[in-house]
Order: sequence, then C-alpha cells, then structure tokens
Amino acid sequence: MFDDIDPRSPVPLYEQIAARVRVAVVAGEYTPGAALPSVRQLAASLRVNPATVVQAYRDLEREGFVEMRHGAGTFVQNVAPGLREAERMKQARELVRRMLAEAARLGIGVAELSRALAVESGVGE
Amino acid sequence: MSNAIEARGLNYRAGKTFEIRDMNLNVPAGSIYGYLGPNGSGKTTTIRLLLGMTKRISGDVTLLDHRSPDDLPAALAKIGYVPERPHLYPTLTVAEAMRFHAAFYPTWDAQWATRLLRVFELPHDRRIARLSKGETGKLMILLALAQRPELLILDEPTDGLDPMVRRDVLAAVIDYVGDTGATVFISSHLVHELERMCDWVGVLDKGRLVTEMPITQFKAGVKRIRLIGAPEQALGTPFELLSRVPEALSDGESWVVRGWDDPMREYFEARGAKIRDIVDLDLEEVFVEMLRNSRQGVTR
Amino acid sequence: MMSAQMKQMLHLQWKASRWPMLPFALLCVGLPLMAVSTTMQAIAEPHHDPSYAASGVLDMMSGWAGMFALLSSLLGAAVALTSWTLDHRANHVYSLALPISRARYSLFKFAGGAFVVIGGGILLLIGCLIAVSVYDIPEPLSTYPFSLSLRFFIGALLVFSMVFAAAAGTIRTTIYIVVGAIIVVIFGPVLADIINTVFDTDFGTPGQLILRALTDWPGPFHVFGGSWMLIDV
Repeated sequence: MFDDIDPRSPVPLYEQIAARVRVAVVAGEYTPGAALPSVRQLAASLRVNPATVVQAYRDLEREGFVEMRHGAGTFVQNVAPGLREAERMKQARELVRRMLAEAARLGIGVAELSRALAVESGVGE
Repeated sequence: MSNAIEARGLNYRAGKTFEIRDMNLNVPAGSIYGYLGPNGSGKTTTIRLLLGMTKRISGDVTLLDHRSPDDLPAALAKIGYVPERPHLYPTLTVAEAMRFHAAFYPTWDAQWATRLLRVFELPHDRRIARLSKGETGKLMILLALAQRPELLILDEPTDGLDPMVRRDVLAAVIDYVGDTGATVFISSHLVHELERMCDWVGVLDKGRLVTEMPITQFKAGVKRIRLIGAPEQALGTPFELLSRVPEALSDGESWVVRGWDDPMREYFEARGAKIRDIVDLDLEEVFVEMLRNSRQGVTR
Repeated sequence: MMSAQMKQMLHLQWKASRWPMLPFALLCVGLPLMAVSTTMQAIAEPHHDPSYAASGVLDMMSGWAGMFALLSSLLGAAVALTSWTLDHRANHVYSLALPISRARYSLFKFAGGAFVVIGGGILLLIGCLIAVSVYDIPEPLSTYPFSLSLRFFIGALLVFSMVFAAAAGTIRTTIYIVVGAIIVVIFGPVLADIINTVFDTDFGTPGQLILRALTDWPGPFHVFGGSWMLIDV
C-alpha cells in the first residue's frame, strides 16, 4: 500500500502517507478499530524519518480518521459518513485534476476527454 | 542539549590542495542529518576531525555536550561509529568481535545484538576476514546499534552494498531511531537514499560547508522552469536564481530557481517570456544545481 | 577479578600471537637443551682430557651465550610486532573510536605482550632446568638456570618495550624509526671517521659511544652486557 511513495514528488512524504491511509479508510480496507502500523515499524519499512510518519498520523488524527493512543498505537476511527463522502470527492477531483493537466500537456481538449470517459466507463455512448 | 554535534571555526589542511577553513557545523539532537557531498569533498575528513582521529589545526568541537578532545572518551562511549572502510580486527570471529565490543560499551544490549545477528543473517563463528563485503557492513552496523548509542555517525555506510543489504541496514537504523530518538549523522554521495530519511542536510564541496538547513527548506520551491524568450538580465527576481542554461533542442532556456511560488509567473509575463513547463526537482538535482551555483555563480 | 576489558585485550593478544609464537616457544625450551647437550657430548668424546672437562664446558657454553641473548631480543621484538599487527591492518580506526584514552589502550596492550614475554621466560626456565638435571655437570662448575632466565626475561622485556613503542604508530612511522636506526648504525662510523680526521679528535663511532652509554650501568641495556652463561664457575 505504501510502496510507491515518492520523495521526488512535490507532495511532502507525510502527506503521501496520510493520503494512502485516507484512501484505505474510505474504501473500507481499514475497518474502524483496526491498528495502523506503529510509527517505528512503518518508518523502518519505508525507510523514512519517523518524524514523517508521526506527522502523517497527527494530521490524520486532526482530520478525524484515526486516534493516537499513547503507548498503545494508532487506531482507525469510525469515520463520519459526511467525512467519508467528502474524502471520496476530494480524491476524485485530484484524479480529474491530474488527468486534465496531462491532457493539457498532450493537447487534448475537455470535449475529447469527455467522449473518451464515456467510452471507457461504458456510460452514455 | 540542542546540538548533538557542534563544530566552531574548524580548521584543517592536507597537502597543498585540500583545506577546511573556519567550518561551523550543527547537528540538532534527534535529527537525521544527511551530510552530502561529491567524492573527495572532505566528508570522511570532517568526521575524522570531529571524532579526534585526525588532529585539527584549530577550532572547537563538542560531541553530545562533551568537549573534544578533553572529554572525548566519555563522548565516544555514547557514539556508534561506522567508518567507510572495514575497521574491525580481521582475525576475530563475529561472536568474538561482539564480545570485545560489549566489554568496552557499558550500554551494550546483548538481547538486541542476538536478534540483529539473526535479522542480518550473520554467521557467528566465521572470522571477519572471511566475511563478504555486505556481511562486514552489516556487522559494523550491528555493533554500532547494539551499543545503544545516543549518536550514530555513519560514513557512507551503504557504499558498495547491494540493494537488499542497503535496505536492511537503513531499516535497522530507522527502527532504532524510531525507538530511541537518537541522532544520526550520515554522510553519503548517494543522495537518493538519504532523501527519504533525512530531516536536515549539510552540503559539502571542496572542504566548504555550502549550506546547512532542514531538508524541506532545501527543497522548498526548487523548480526547473523552461522558458521561451527569457529576459536577458535576471534583475530583481522574486525567487533565487540558481542557474540558467540554453535548452538543447529549442530556442528557449532552462532556469533553475529556488523559493518559487505560483504568483511569480507574473515576473516572466511582464517581461514577455513564456513559461513552457515547470518541473519539480528531486534532492539530487537540487544538490547538483546548488553545487554548480556555489562553484561558478549563475552561468549563462 | 580481571576487568572485562583486560580480558578481551588478552584474548586479542592471544589471537594475534599464537601462531607466530609457536616457533619461539619451541626455541625457548629447546635452546638450553641444545646448548647443554652438545656441550656434554663434546666433553664425552674419548680423546678429550678429563682434567680439562670443566674448562671445555666453559668454552663451549660461552659460545652459546650469545644465542641466548639473541633469542631474548628476537622474542621481545616479535611479541611487540604481533601486538600491533591487527591494529595496523585496520589502521587503528577501531581502537581510536573506543571509549578509552589512547594511553590506556596502549597500556592494556603492553600488559598483554608482557604476559607473552613472561611465558617465554618460563619456557626458557623449564628448558634450563631439564637440561641441567639430565646431564652430569663436571664438579667445580655450578648452574644458573634462574639467573639466566631472569636475565633472558628482562632483556626480552626491554626489547619488547622499545619495539612496542616504535610500532605503536602507523606502519609508516614504524618504518621510519627502523630505517633511521639502520642509517645511524651504517653511516655513523663514516661520519665519525670524517670528524676524527678533520678535527683531529678521537671519538669512537657513534655506535661505540651509544653502545657504551647504553650497556654500562646505569644504561638500559646493562642486562645484555652481563653473563649469559647457563653453566659457570
């Protein structure tokens, strides 16, 4: 799940890690009450600074996705439905943003993109 | 203690060509500090000077709040050092080397040492002279870690090791740091490797510490901007211009800038230049541009 | 009772010295045996005049005396060199990073080497005791196994100390010291001759001067100037 974090991306590492966790929680991969890998474990396996993982977990805690229990670990929270939807929308928009940027680079217009989307998703030929 | 390592006005000369002049170095406690520099820039020399193995001409060195060289043994008891080249007694076996090390470092953790021995898959009764390069590297890390130091000084610890061993070694170091909050000073010319784990960087070039700052600041807003119709003179730029070179395949230029923010596009638009592309640079590219800039200033 | 650190240093010494020391161990035991047995066999020759047996023994034993002195020096030098071999191979980096002062580390090493030298002395003593008990020594002569062994030990310790100090630095400084000593020995006489001719003086060669200074009491090499006879009047 965390294999593809990229230090070269403009997105800071802690944000990349937090994003992966958000995706997993929203998609149901992490169920409420499940324990995230410990800071030490995750940092070692990703070979990143432990402070980076701590920051990711803290951000997630602030947003309400997880709870850090001192001494016990970090646990997934029951995410409010509104939050879940908001997160999904956020990720969808991120995907679209990236696609639009790439399309612009290749000189593909929004109309063409729209048509391609319809074809690929099989919705509304 | 705010700094695990502090050097003030460090001076050293070797022959007629290499010199360290008035170097000030600060490694914050609990940080993972990457000491970057090309081969021959003096990384190993700096470390040897800090540890008192090479005599400095002048300057103050403080390690873990102990002044060197007056209080050096006390500091060394809390420092785990892994040098560039193997330094262990070649005729001792792995187990004998561990026992020797344990006798000299009171904080030795025998249980963890045994566990690391297993994780690193080291043969405990083989002589050090007979170990492979990777095994020797792992043993040196094992000794430095099982000692439970407050400060780890690693000089190119993964150089010449295969990727699997590199991962194991760095994972063990980070695991230790995650558990204890120890400080790590790691020198390397393999910038990619350090990019993920360091929170501070110090860049060394020909004996001079070119820059020393948190890694986020080092990489902050460093971009390569590909321009058409770039202005002749780069006057009053809102960003820091590190370098500008003509582009090979077009009639544009490629500028490397630092401190970039999106509104700064206005600078180019106002001067009739068109931005074709803005690319993020990784640590290695930033490092190269920094060095280029410090050596020759902004080239045209 | 011995500290853990001393124990490890001794173990290190053992690992560095054990194979090189094997021939020395054999020589320490064997030299007195060889000296006495060849002497006694020569005396027992049929044509040898029994009334001159004692002086025959003395003649032969004084020939062997030099060998004891030589072995003593070689033992000291060899132990000193093996003491530092492992450090040289790793360029002293490991020991410089150890949390003890350089002086203390050297002291530990010195103690380790001294143990080996003592061992050599004990082996020599054993060899001497066996040699003089196996053979019948002619009447007016006495044997001096203990004083010879003691002289042997002190001589070896002396050479050990000097070579130890010379070898404590890098391989380069050790070589410089050895080459420097050789130069003094070889070119010293030439220089002395020149000075004597030009200034019409009568200095001995530097070698002679140094030798006299060192071997006459209270010079440090006094022990080498004494008697190395196992069997004497």
